[in-house]
Amino acid sequence: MTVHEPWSEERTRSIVAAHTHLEGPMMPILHAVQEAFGFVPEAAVPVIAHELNLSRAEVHGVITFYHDFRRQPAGQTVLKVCRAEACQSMGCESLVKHAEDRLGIACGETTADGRVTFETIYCLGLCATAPSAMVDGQIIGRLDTAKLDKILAEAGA
Amino acid sequence: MTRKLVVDGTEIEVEDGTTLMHACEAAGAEIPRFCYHERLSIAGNCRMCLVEVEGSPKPIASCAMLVNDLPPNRDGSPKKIFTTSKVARKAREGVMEFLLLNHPLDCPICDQGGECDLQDQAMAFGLGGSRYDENKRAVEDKYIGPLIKTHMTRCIHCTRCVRFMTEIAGVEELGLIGRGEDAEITTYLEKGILSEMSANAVDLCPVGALTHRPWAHNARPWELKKTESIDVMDAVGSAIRIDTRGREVMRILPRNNDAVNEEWISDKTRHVVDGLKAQRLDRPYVRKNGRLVAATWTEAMDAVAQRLKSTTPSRIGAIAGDLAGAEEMFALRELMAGLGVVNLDCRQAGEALDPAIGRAGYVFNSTIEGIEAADAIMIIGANPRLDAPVLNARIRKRWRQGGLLVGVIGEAADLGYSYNHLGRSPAALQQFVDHAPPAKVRPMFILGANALARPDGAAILALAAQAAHSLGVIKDGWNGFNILHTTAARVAGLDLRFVPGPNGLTAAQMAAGGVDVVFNLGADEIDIAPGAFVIYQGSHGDRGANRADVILPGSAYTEKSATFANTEGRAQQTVRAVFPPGEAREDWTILRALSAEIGRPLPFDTLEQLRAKMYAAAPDLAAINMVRPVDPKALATLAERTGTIRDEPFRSPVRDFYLTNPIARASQIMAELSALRHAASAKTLSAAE
Amino acid sequence: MAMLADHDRIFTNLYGLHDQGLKAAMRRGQWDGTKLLIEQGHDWIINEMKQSGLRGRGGAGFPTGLKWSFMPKADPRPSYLVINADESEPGSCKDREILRHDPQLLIEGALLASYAMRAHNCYIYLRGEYIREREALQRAVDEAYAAKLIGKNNIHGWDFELYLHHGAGAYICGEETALLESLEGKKGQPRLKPPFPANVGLYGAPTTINNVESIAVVPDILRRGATWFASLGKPNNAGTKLFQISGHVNKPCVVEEEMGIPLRQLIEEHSGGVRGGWDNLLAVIPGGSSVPLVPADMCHDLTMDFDALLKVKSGLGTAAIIVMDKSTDVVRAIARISYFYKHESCGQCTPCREGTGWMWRVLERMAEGRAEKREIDLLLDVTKQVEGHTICALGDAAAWPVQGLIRHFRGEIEKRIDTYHSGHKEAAE
Repeated sequence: MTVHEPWSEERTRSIVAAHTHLEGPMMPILHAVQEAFGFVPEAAVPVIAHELNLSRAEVHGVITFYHDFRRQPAGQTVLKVCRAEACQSMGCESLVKHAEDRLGIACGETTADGRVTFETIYCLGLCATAPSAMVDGQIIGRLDTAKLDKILAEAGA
Repeated sequence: MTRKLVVDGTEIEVEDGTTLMHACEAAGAEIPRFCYHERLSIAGNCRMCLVEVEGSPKPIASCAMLVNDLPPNRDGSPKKIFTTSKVARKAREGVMEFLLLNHPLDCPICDQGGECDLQDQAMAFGLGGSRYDENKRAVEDKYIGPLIKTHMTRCIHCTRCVRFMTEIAGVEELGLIGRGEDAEITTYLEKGILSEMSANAVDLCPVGALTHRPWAHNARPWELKKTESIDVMDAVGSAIRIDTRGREVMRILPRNNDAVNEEWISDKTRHVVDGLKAQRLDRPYVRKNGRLVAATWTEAMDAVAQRLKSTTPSRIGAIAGDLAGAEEMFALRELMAGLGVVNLDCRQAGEALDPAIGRAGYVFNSTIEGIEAADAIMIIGANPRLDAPVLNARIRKRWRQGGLLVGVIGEAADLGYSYNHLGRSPAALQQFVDHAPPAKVRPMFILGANALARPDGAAILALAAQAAHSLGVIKDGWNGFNILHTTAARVAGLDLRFVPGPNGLTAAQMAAGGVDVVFNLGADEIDIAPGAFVIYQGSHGDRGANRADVILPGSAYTEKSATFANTEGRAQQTVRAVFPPGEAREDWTILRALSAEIGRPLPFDTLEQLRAKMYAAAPDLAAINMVRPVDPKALATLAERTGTIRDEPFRSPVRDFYLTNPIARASQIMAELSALRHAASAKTLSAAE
Repeated sequence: MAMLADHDRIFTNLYGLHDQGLKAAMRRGQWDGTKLLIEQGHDWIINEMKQSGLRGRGGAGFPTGLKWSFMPKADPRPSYLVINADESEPGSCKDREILRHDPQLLIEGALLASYAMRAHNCYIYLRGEYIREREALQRAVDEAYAAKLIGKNNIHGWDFELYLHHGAGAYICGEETALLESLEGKKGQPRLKPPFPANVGLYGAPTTINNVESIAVVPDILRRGATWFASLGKPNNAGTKLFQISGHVNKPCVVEEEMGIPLRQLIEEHSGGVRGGWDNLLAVIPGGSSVPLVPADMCHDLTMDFDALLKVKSGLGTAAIIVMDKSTDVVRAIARISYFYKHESCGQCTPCREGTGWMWRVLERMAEGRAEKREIDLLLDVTKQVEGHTICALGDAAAWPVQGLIRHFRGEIEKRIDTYHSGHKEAAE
């Protein structure tokens, strides 16, 4: 579970300023903005565009291209289950179904109480310990129903 | 270096740097394309132009491959290219099928129908049927401005519109979002695009995703008669095509003219069309008991002739407006000369330009194409983005190539490129008068003609000429001293010396009561004080007609053949696309008839005769579509003049881009655009506060 | 074939059993005599790499030394080495082990490769999901800087800066030019080639992009000599390689082995065999999700190298072997792969944007049997319309698995269609 700061233009500006010395600062800035606020708010777009001397359409395009960047806040816990080939062969689909049933949402959604966001990911590069998952950036191998239940219980769902 | 290629069996030799697509075309092959456009960067994304290249395992996108990048054959023989082989055909048919998968088959209700690249190429290069049984993708339509109607389901993601907006128009709102089959073209937050050139993006759209909103469901292209002509909305003289149906102008499109507008026109040039039908003066009027009442031509001509005959020449004056053709200005000049009138002026704004010293003192000497050779541009008292959007696009084009230094003296407006702001008032020019020659090889001045429309205008012009000489703007082999006019009529007016004769009065003096009779040839931007008898000849009921005592209905630029010299001094002729409405007549014929009425018939009965006389008086106007070499000595004369400049900032002469002339002011669409622009800038202002 | 001898192993801490810190790495022989290698000169290194026969480990198998030799030797622009750690191909999980457990191998390799190509700057692009890996690698980079192994005025006499860059969830960024776009902060849309990155790459400067494993093996090749590396494996398929075995095996694993090891040996000796025994094998995907599958009957004598896999119309790819036993619904498995490529298409060029969705939709129906038999040939034709017609290789990657399915399991698709139709006929009656 992660706690984020409320949106602030001031803070966004200082994030941008901290990265402008880099070559290609856009992605590091977007990562940092997301880390600070939990997502990339719409209001950050003109600020970043202005500071980097890019068009707003360009910044907007980049954010929408990369699926890691959220445009809405995520749940307090983000659970991503790998559904690529290796994990599929090791039964990830039944785990997805299990999680969906327990959370009462479809994969790709956030629970109404905002506790859990449940998403698909394609390959965590953890094929040798399939099925695998990621919880708030922490990777989990050999996922099974028991582990999944524990994760969801800890997330308060 | 050149190299040989064999395209479909034809051997050709092409220069290095040529794209494979152009090489194939040079050999007579037809290469279909959607994303490729000569004036935009290469995207290579539609894959329609794939050709088979000997030795390459995959077909190659010919738009993105330079002939010198092709790996040479081992034996040194010319590379063989196949554009109609099985591999090439199969590749093309495949791409065509993919493009049509999610494209709706709504051609019968699509405004692009009949001039749609997708339709044409599907017929030429596609298969007859569809093998796609899945549901088609539907995409929500986007709001990208009042002029552009969107049907985004039709979009084939060629990104021409995005490239046009970012590269040519310099507007940053349009882009591609998302990815894969969910990728969509949209504006950031779906805001309208604020550009004076936005509608060109619609022309570039190869399908019906973007269509012109004002023309929606108006006409099919095949029922329109096409007339090639010239635009008069500004002093650029863009090449246009006027499409008409019956007596009605349906639409105006750009034509290509590399020297002038490339293939762009401003939104005003294009969408002023509805203004051609509104507020028209379609019959003569005479003021009786304070009110304008409809009259016959005989009544109107009698009234005018009587008034002219009964007034002493020194109390008569003539002012020519912004849309007047050279022919009518010449006819009016001759008519006035016959009466002995010396009060003539074509500079209704009061620009301190003196044609007597020579043409170099009042034209855009470097030519518009010359902008591409410049390495430094100083913009003085002008806002090219509003004064001449198409010319501004040329500056931007040059700026994008890099190595261009731009300075601005005047209002610090958003021009679509970066510049150093050197000051607001003409005083900023002073520092350059004794300046050491800079390292720049082809520096250029762009001096707004309207910046000279102030009491110290002549002094500003002299100061600019002095600065230009020290900065190397004028030197052997290079004349970068450019006056940017904003009106179509002005340069020809100056060429014709439609200016006060000895002791003659200026337009301002005439308007202020210096004369008893004013012949107003379409001057709608000037207020004539009460008292004088005003004869107004023009096409639209605007300010000039309201003040008139007699109205002689003339023709708009789409209704006559008239000569205009653009800001470069390039003489071009409009072509009649439709007849003037009602009893309105071609302008020179009105003046010819009037001359007979006052017993001093002008010595021409046909347009050809008139032009022969006019060319003798102003030979530059005879060089149709050309710019004759200009002797720069006028600028040396200018530099010797002195005067006192006032420490007052320049103000942009174009207060409202969309409403600069009577035709534009009659247009509902221009009014809407103007209102939107005001609302947007009010918002920006309040946000800034 | 005998198992790879321990003394020929390059990745001595693949499983993280030892300390991954700098000191421990040095004890394992890393950073040993690096300066001497550099003193041999740029061209010597490139030549050694050519002689070693190393072929790129990222999937395409282009000879690494040859690729390096394309870099200009006297160019006023800075040169860049970019290391592709955007390991996103389903089935691939080898680079992560290097990043986590043997990062100094990669850092030393990066220095040597950069020196060979006259680059002073190197970027490592890690996929967004590799959060812990980036942390581990960053620790290792910090250690190397602190020990003056890299950085300005380092002990090797070649100024060298190393930057880590984090992706954000786009498979396409593993394509080398999309990766460059992403590094520059743009959408990861592949560039048109030519110009090639060696000429116009990152920020318009000469750039070489290599896979993590390709770079990590460089120090050992140079230290032990090109001949040593070339003596391992098979001709044209030299050296050792990290194999990743996942799916229906008893013990999925990542293992370093010689190129050309028989598939069966690899599965049985390192992964505890196919679930239910070798005879229970249905097919393998031998090189990550983008290569066509190989059915069991072709797997018996199959060796794991570029040439042998090409012969069975598949590819070594990243050597990520996904094993499928007879319980697998192979049509559904490929339909899922198709979905993945549709999901990851950047949308830039027509055949991929439109074709990936089409293939997936048809396959989804075929997985249920809800299709016509003639659609199998249609589907095959669609794959041919995508393959080779796109800007980058994602189009090919999307087409090949489908081609593999049809080539080897047409009967299975037909059977399913029959079953579906007969079921519906009965229902209708």
